Amino acid sequence: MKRLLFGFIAFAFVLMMTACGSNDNNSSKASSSTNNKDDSWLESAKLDESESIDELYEKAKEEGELTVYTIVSILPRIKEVFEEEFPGIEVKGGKLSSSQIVDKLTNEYNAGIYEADVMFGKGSSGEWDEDLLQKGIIHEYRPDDVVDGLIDSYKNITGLPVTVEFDGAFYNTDAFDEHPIDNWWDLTTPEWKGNITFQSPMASAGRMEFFIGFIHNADDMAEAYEEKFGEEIELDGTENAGYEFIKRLMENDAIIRESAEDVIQAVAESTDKDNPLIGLGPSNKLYDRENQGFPIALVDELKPKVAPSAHQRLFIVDNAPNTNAAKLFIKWLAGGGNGFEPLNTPGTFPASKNVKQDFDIISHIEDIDLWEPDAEFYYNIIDDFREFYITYE
Amino acid sequence: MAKIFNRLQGKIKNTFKNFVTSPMHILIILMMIFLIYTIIIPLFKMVSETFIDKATEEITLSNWLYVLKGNISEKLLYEPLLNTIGVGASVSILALLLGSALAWFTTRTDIPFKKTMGFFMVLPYMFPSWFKAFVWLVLFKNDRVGGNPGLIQNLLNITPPDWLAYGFIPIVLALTTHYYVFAFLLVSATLGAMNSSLEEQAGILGASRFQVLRKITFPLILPAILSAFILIVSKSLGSFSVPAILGLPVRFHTLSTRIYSSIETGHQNDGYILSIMLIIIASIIVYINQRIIGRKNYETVGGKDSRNKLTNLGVWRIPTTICIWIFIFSTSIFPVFLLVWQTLMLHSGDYSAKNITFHHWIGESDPNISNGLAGIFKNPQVLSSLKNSLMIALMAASIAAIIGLLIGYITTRGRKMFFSKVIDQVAFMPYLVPSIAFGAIYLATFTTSTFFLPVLYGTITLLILITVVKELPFTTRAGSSTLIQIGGELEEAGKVMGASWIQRFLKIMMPLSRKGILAGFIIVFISAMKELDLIILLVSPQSHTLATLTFEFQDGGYVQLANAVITLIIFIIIIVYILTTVVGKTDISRGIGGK
Repeated sequence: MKRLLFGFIAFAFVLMMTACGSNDNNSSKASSSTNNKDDSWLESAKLDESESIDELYEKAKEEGELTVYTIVSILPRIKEVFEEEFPGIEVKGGKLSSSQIVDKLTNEYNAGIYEADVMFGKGSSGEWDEDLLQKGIIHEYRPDDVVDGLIDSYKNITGLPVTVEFDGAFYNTDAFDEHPIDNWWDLTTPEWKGNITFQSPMASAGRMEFFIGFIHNADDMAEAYEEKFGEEIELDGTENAGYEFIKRLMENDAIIRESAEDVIQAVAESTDKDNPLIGLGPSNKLYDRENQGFPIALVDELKPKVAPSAHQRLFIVDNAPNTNAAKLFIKWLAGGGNGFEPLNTPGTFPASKNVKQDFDIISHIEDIDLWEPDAEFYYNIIDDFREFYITYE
Repeated sequence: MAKIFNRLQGKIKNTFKNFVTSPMHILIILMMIFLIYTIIIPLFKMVSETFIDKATEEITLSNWLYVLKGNISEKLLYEPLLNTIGVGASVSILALLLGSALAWFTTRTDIPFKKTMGFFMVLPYMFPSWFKAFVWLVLFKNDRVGGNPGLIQNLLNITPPDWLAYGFIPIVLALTTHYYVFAFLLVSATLGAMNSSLEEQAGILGASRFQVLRKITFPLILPAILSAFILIVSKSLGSFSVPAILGLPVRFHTLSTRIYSSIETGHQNDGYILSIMLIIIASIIVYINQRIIGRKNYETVGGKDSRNKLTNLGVWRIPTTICIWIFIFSTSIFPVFLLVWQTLMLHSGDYSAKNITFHHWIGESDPNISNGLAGIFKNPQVLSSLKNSLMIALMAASIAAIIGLLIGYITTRGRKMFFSKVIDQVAFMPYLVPSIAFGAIYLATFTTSTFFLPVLYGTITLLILITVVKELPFTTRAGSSTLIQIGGELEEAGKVMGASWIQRFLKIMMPLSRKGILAGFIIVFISAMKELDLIILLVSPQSHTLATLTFEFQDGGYVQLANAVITLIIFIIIIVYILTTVVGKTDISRGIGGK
């Protein structure tokens, strides 16, 4: 009996020893990479060089894989197309929310664990620029030829923009022949009381940026108010016309939902003109016209502007274990060639001049009057906005 | 002097040797190490984070002051707190009543098809909890939120009022029809083991049926009810998706919806503080509950003489049967039917026959459908996720069942020891932390090396570990309720025969508690297959699971694909459930601490 007991203890010790052993390996790996926070990776990564796709593919083959952290849901399809074009390189990774990406990358960076190669997405743009890019957790990779191919007004956007999207006002095309509103302030009138729905900005960073856009462009909103009502706006306890708009929108009995998909579905089902519904949601949901046969459309002309714009951007992650594969992937996805194919759906607009879209609905993003995003403004106002929103919710 | 010193040294050595060679002590030490590593350190980290200023990294009370008495405390903490307590209390009461009533009908009365009913009544537990909210809206949706009205309005032309469509009442009812399963399982297990002659005797002595129920049946099932109460109240306090779906349209918030939105908007500290509040409330409830149980010593009267006599319901037999079947239909059968139908729709929401397709199951990639994503059985990612899900769920369930048995051994055999009580309490704590907060704190804890142990982040081990730990309260209960029925005599007999502790455990305890282990296993397996929030932050690119894939599909608007994956998950759960109950001859109720 004693022998067995000692055996048991010995077993426990062995367990601990192996734990220690593997710990040594790991911690040395971790600490060495922590020390590497000098710029040796950055130097060897040659992010300012513009190698050709073929050159990158040759080098990437040795790496054999890459990992993408993204907020887009279409990664499985991107993976398929990429792997078909570049056999021997496996795309790994998955969908996270944008704040989860920040959380994960920050923790990984601080711990010296480098898992991800590429980050791709929109939302939380303030946090991405201020908390990730500025701190060196992610880096820009902007090959000259790709940047040259961008539509001029997107050339200055940090990271590498792939798509342009915006959150806008969806309506049902069975209920309305043309868009039922032409000024954002229309939604604060009794006519639309109880007939506006959107996903909670507390549930999605994308929705949050959309609402912050009104605050960012408060002067435009004040002008549009005057245009609609013929008098200057009187603020009712809020700071500016942007906040005032959001407050009145919510007080107009807006219906808040948990997911953007629910919002679009509700609009699609609201075919009754007497009980119409405007749903605020991301433009890429226009794809549901095709995919789900939904009778929906986006209001493409609105005072003062249609919406704040947002961009799906690409970054390379610091100390990316598969640097060449990451560069190849970024170049391929942003280059406006085959890489755009999985993204080429109505409501997702290319940032590259090389892609021509031809859908029966809004095809040219240049025709739509959008506000420019401002990551720094977003970053600094998030806490205030959250307090404001929770107060009036 | 040296002699005394030597003797003293020898004595200490002996005491030490006796201490560390006692199997019980070793077991306690090992379990304490395990729980410190997996529960105490992460929770400590969570608490300490709330006292650190995010910007300056200095120690501060400002996070707490902000939540407790800041500008938005009313909306962030106090209102949701009241709502949470209201929901928790109402769900507990209703679920206990419903579950116990159903348990009584299916064990003690003469209604037909009791076994089949029992099977269907457990089914809701195997569905994702948001499922109930979804079904509720299909039935009760009204004009308010736009879109198609629900079936009630469609068929009966009655507009359900807002209070019935959204907010407090539907949340309570949806959660009740999900968590009544705990009460049903525990109470029917107790009723099944109880001798009906007691009730008969009372009847002969002239007690009315109601008196019998109140004076005899109820006191005997009280321990099971209190036990179910803990499980139900803790689960409903922390539930997120049902309040989110049914509460948001009327701006009804609970603590858990606030915790989710805080963490989702990068306000982790607020989320942690609210989580701590939730733990405190739940702990108070658990404490009170244990005081009630602890005072009295309940002993279920065992020993079956003959088969139990069933209560004759008389004229009520048929109406009751019909009512129960309507209930089963609306909570177990109809939801699955809706879900499967959803997966067969080419265009979501179009219920016509020409819209039916099998594309989302077996279709090859078609650029016109779901952006070129193939049906789930043709999609390599679904298959690899399936492999990961099964591996995580099977491993986690097996490990949790064994650890549960070991902790159960400590709490039953070492009942008087201080540490056994501590272990029992600590093992229960993860159950009270909302999954999203627990996941976030695991991310913060396990990306760095703790003690001398390796960095677990990025490994599948961590996913298994967090699942084991989160579900530990179940398996611990399963373990202790099984072991309490295995008399100490058997073990002593083994000891006399010279069997070591390991031998005794492997050869005596394990075989005898096989059913308990299996029951703990199935409970964890069910949760692990559905789990998303707990692991999403910890999932490494290689370890996608079916649940994370569902999230991806759902969010991308590929509703049919998402629902097809959910159908697959439910199907697997039911298969494994049938295997463990029919082949393994166990009863799932043991898994939550039933007899």
